[in-house]
Amino acid sequence: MDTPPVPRPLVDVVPLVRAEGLSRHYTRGSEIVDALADITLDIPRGAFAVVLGPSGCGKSTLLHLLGGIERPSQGAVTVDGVSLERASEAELTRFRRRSVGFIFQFYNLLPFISADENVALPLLAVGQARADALRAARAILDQMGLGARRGHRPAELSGGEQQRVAIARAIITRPPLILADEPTGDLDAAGAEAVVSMLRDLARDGQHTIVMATHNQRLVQASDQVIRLSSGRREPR
Amino acid sequence: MTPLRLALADLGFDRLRTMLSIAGMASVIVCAMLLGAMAAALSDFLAVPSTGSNLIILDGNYVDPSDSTLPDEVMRAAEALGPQLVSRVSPLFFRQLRVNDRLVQVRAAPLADWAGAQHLSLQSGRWPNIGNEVVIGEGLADSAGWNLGSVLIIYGRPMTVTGTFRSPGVAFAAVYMPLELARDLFGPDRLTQIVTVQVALGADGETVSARLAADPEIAGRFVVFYEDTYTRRNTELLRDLLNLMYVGSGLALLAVGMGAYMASALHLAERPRESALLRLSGFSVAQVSAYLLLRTEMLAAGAFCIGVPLASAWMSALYADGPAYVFNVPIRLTADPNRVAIFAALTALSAFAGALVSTAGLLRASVAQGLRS
Repeated sequence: MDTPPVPRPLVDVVPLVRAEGLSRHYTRGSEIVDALADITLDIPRGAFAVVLGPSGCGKSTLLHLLGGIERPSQGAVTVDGVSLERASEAELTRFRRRSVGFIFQFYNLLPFISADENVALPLLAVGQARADALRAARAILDQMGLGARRGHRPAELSGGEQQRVAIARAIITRPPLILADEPTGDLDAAGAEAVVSMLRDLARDGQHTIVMATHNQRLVQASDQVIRLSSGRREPR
Repeated sequence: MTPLRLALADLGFDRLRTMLSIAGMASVIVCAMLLGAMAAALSDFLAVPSTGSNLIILDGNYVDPSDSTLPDEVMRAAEALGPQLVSRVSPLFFRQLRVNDRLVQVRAAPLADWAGAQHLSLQSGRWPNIGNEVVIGEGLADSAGWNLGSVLIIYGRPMTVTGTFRSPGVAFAAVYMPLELARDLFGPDRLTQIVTVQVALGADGETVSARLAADPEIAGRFVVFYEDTYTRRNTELLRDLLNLMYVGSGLALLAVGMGAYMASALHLAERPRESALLRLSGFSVAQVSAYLLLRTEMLAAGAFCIGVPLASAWMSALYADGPAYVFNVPIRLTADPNRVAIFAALTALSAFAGALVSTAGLLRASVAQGLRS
């Protein structure tokens, strides 16, 4: 006798990221430049998605729109239940605190504070006590093998170490979405492999969804989903 | 991390830049403090007590009253108004002379009129007896370093200083001698340059002034002023200078605001990425603005903490040997605590305004724009 199908839980049905007809135009003098045009995509929770394409194809712009640090010219984008195109600045701040962590090619750490303070920034932004925030930051840095480097400023760390600090900062609030923009672009092969492995592990534990922009075709093998961009448009699968 | 801690870390990170910013703002604060102190000293001097409804008569055809001579008919015309309208008529001799190698205003009036019609009040020593004795204004005593017992060579004759006096108006820098001595020294002619008319108690100054101006001995050739008006006219240059100093002081404070604006604007222009990164990490625009405002206020506070002692030390050094003189007005600059407090508040306010203007753009720019910079 056939057993009735068990309905899938809602969390699996509703994607963490949903974009529909997403476009971003820039004005350069009298010229209008389409950085991104008519992008539609869904990214489920826990996925390791790769945005693939050559330099200037709109990968960074797409990540900016998904992370709520830039507003779309057209279209809609919903992340973790928040409609970013309509959100106020205060709502976007709340969204950045709760739902998203960023990792960049050039690390983007504050140069005048130490590694542990950089990692603790997202906790301090929401008013967590300094001692508690630093304790949490040091715990993550210890896990990443940077315990001995936690008091150093970014300029005193290697590229790989800085990127690990940046990853620690991105995940310290356990956001459901992590956006990584060419995170291996400034690293040697071993450092790049370590970072990709770390991101893959984060996706594997199910708590994080990773969207990584890269022009490195080899990373496709490591991904659950590939979004190919060319000249600001999504290429057919 | 609180905005305060961020601001402290940021300023401590680039110490050379921080010190340069503070030094730039401190130099402007020193200028503002010096100009403010000078304006206050002049203002104190110009806040002279009123000489009431005293009138003076002088020859309107001369710019310098020492060039004019008033005939006795003028005095008689004033006296003719009677005791109901005029209580005292006093002639004043007036010369600019070289005394002990200084250009000094020498005045002479009947000794009996000094305290009344001439408004002199003795500060030290005594009034002269008939003889070669004079008194000097306290401003002149300060500026020339003359004391009781000093001997002044006036018109070739040695005269002894017997006292110092205080007076409203510009007489504080003058030498006063009894009229009899002036007559003996300069001869009996051309001894009256100004006639002071003390209006009787209860009489209307306007009426007396109008009566005098209409008198046939006076009308057409001599003019009648309220003494206060005449003093104000004589101190007009000082008032202009005072206003100039207030404007200069205000501009210097504005420059503090501009300095704060430049420091913040430069910071934002050079390192917009850091502000964007804070927002990316979850800091709100208000939190980032607070950090930038605190950073600027700290620069201003540092500049103030350096600028005020520097200005005070400068003032002390400038006046270690006595006051400076501006048009014979003794100017002694001090860092008055009330004025320092006002300057502190204005500095903080102008720095806040400067920083607010420069950070206002932060509210308009997106995080991505900051990251791309």
